[in-house]
Amino acid sequence: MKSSAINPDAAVQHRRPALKWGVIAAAALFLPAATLALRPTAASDAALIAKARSVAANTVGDVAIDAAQSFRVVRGKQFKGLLVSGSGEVARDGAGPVHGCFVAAVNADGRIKVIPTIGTDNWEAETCIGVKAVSLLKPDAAGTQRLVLIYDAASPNAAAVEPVVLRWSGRLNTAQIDVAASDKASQAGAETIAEVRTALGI
Amino acid sequence: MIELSESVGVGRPNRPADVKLVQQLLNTHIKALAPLSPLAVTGKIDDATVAAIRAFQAKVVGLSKPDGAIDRGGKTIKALATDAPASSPDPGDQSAINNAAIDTAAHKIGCERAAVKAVTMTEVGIRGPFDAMGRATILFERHLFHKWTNGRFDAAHPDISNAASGGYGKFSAQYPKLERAMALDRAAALKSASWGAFQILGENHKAAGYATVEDFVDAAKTSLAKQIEGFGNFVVADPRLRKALQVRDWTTFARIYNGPGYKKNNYDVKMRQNYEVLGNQP
Repeated sequence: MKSSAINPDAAVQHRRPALKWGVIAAAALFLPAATLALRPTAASDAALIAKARSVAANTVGDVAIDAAQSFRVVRGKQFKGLLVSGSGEVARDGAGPVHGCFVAAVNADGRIKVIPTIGTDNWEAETCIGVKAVSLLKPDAAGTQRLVLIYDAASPNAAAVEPVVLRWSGRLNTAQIDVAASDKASQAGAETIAEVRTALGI
Repeated sequence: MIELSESVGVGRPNRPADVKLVQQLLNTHIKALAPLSPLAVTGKIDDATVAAIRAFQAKVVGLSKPDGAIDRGGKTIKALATDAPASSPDPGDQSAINNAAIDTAAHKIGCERAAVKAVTMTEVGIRGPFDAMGRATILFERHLFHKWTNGRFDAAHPDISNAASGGYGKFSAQYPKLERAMALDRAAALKSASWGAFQILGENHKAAGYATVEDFVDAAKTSLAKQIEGFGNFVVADPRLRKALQVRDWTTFARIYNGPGYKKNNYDVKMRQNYEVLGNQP
């Protein structure tokens, strides 16, 4: 018999999905969606990390990857991509090259954006010593994801700790530096993840 | 005027000192050569250096047929030397005056002339004595302005007065920051910036041989020779720096002089290499 209308088992089978989606819909009202999280990179990420290094080498000399400060980005069990911290020689307008840092935002599909940080643009006066800490921040009201990297840096005159805030919506490789948030954290003297959160009111 | 002892590039003699000089000069133009990466300053001719020479000839010199070679007295070396991002406000050839200032500084310090010149080459290669507008290169330190003004501007102007160091912004932001700070407290502002090729802080004006910070700044604005003179005085005033230059201890010198980033930028290695190059020159 092929008609589900007269097949009791089939009727039950139809009710189960309905019940399942109903439960999920009800749960969604009370449970938060899985949030993004950072996890240590795995051996299976080696190819993507190598690709990130290769893309970075187009603009950065003597690229070195900081494995300890590189992470997988996951939402629940879903792999969203990688954030790969690295450093090397970066060019500057009106000055010789400097040892700078970058973060490569690697989308799960392999698309990559290399984001120069210390040694470039707002931080072009500074040498990058290295990354101290990385943490996701609470998304803003519009759902834009945010992340902060805390760097040890140095000018010719002083050592400094520089917070650099990234933001993105959707794919990881759309990430960009949030200059206003980075400045706000810096001007508050924030040198730790907790201090950045306080400075940004989150 | 910067000149090569022999030609560099494809099919040329490629003396290590000349190749090194070309690599350093190309690095000061590397932004214009995008997407090329900065060159490793090795003194050895390689594919990356030849590619950068060709790119420079095509993009900057405007050669229709870049040949990847730089000949003595040719267009490419002239463009590399004269179009360097940092140039003196005096368009004349200052090399004789600069050399005299180097001789004087070396005499005061009690070190070899090549040692002072090696430091000068390294420091000039970082940002140069003057910016594209002919102003002395500066870096404004917000934590020093905080110190010199006892933090009284921290709340209203945290970007230029702050207990925490850092937050420098772009090179192009340095003069606007200095000018805003000068409007609040002129002397404190001038003390809170580092000046010229050697990036000596205004607060060290006495060590650099000037009774007031205004005199120090006026000298820094004048010429590279004046900046070299201030550098010589500054080294004499610091026994550790003086001793390091006398014995050519580049690591100690760079650690004290170039700050915490010296190792990452290989400043000690660059100084030693520059010294070795210069030491072999007549």
